[in-house]
Amino acid sequence: MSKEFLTTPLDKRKILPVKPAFAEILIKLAKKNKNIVVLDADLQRCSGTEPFMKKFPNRHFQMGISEQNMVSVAAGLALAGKIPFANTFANFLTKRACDQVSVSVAYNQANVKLCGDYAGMSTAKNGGTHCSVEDVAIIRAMPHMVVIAPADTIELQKAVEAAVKYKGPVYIRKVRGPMPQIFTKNYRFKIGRSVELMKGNDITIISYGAMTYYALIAGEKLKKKKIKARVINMSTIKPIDKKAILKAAKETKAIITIENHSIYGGIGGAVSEVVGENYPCLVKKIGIPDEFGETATFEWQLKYFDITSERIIRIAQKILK
Amino acid sequence: MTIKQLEKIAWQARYDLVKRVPVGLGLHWGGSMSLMEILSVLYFKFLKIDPKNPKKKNRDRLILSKGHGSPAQYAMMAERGFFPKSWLSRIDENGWKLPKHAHRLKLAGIEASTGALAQGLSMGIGMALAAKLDKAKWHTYVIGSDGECTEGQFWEAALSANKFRLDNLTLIIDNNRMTLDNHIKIVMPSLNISKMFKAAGWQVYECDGHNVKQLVDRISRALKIKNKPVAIVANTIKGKGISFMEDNPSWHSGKLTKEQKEKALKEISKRLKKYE
Ligand SMILES: Cc1ncc(C[n+]2csc(CCOP(=O)(O)OP(=O)(O)O)c2C)c(N)n1
Ligand SMILES: [Mg+2]
Repeated sequence: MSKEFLTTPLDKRKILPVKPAFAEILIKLAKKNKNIVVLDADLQRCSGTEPFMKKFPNRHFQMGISEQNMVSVAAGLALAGKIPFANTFANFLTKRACDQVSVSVAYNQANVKLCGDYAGMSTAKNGGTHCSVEDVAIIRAMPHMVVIAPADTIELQKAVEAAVKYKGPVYIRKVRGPMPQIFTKNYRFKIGRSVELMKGNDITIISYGAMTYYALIAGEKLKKKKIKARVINMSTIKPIDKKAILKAAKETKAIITIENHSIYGGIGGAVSEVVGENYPCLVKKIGIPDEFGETATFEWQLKYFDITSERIIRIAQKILK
Repeated sequence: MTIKQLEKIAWQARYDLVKRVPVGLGLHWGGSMSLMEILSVLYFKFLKIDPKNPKKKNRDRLILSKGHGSPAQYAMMAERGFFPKSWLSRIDENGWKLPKHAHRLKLAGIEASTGALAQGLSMGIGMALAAKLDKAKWHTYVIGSDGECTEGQFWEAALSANKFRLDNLTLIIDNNRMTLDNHIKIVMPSLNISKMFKAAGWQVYECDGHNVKQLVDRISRALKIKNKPVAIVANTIKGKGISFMEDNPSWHSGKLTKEQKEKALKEISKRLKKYE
């Protein structure tokens, strides 16, 4: 069986831009599937769909700064048989157009693929009005929504492919990037399936999106301290991989979650819900506290909110003492 | 303040902003440069405010609804004496007072935090309603943009401002006919701001948004209108004053190189010289 993810040193990984990867997969799929259409809300420079627009000009809709309209129009397209990809910043997609996502898309079970860009602190200096601290929580709570947050550009491409095959609303949470490579081309992405990137039975670290890389760094450093951490990339936040969570709860001492999102309602919340009902265990949540994002670089904010590999290590050592 | 002085302040603020912002810092240059005359006229002619006492009771309120124009507002606030000009070199520093989109909790003199487009007019309506309730004389000014006029909330706001007969509210649209991705004629060709505000029952004036005399005239007239809100559609040029930015969608936001910065400063200095 060929390897699904890299095991090369973390500091030697390729760092790949998000936009071209997204455009590439959209174009590839759209060549085969003529129902795929794309919508933008005056943030095409950030979604990166320009190559798609150039290739399929009449299958691209520039909706202007009208996120609510864009989402409901996407729903209409879906109800008439299309597979629309609606793009804008995650924060505007899930909050400005929140009711439209809920009613036009989720309530109608419209086959819309919502793609939220520059998620969480990755919006960096765009600041608090652009930083989606609670998008996962909001969309996760909406009936029938699937929520996926890829950990690298390969997983993003696989997720887009899976979203096209899946019939129903999907939210794909993208970060600004560039993102260090985690997976190989052989990765078999499946909605709802998490991947154990590092084996271990002492403690479990669960993450998604941009934080998976930091979880791996923590895992490596813990290894040197003789602590074997299980590192799980849980890119599908809904439907959540209950089996993997419960297995971790049973086999390891505790679970630490880390995310580029609020500690309320994100993966920390989702994991707690699962273990709380089935196999109570300690879940330590690392994420944005009860705050909005800051106008600052991604790295600066990670330090500011202490969403770091070091924090994982500190917590793990304390628990295992 | 004479017309000449107000003009000069606009160019001075452009100069200070370009001069002080470090090379390589990504800012919304286009939408900041188009705002300068509107801001100089407001800050130096109409706004009843006290830079030394930014929370003064009964001060006029200004909301920059297109929050990404904050760098221009910072430059003008520095001209007006809210803080030293040296602060401009620290715009967008990690976690600091002058973020890319202004925040009322970070800087005194900012009345409402914006950055997510098209909420400022509604907040302005709230303020104007509060002033009416208090029988207070202060006035609310909102600066919006053509891009914001493509958002639904702007028109929900437009209808309600007329319903409540808010003659203590003046909206100025920085109509640079461009949004982030492209020219408005490509992004949303059906947009006709003046007609739409008229249809919503507003008094509408148009003017050249870089012509200080016209701006002063329109705002003076707006303040005399009774029983309805006024929208001033100020036609501007995105990136005004810097040749390679003017009317160029790539300069919605961007980073200046050292050479570009020098060129920009040279061009602006030339304009400033006329006022010596
Ligand atoms: C609700 C919302 N959607 C999208 C954006 C991203 N955005 C920032 S500026 C901009 C274009 C603005 O164009 P306009 O409002 O006309 O401003 P100006 O041309 O003066 O820069 C966009 C789409 C945003 N800030 N808020
Ligand atoms: Mg504009």
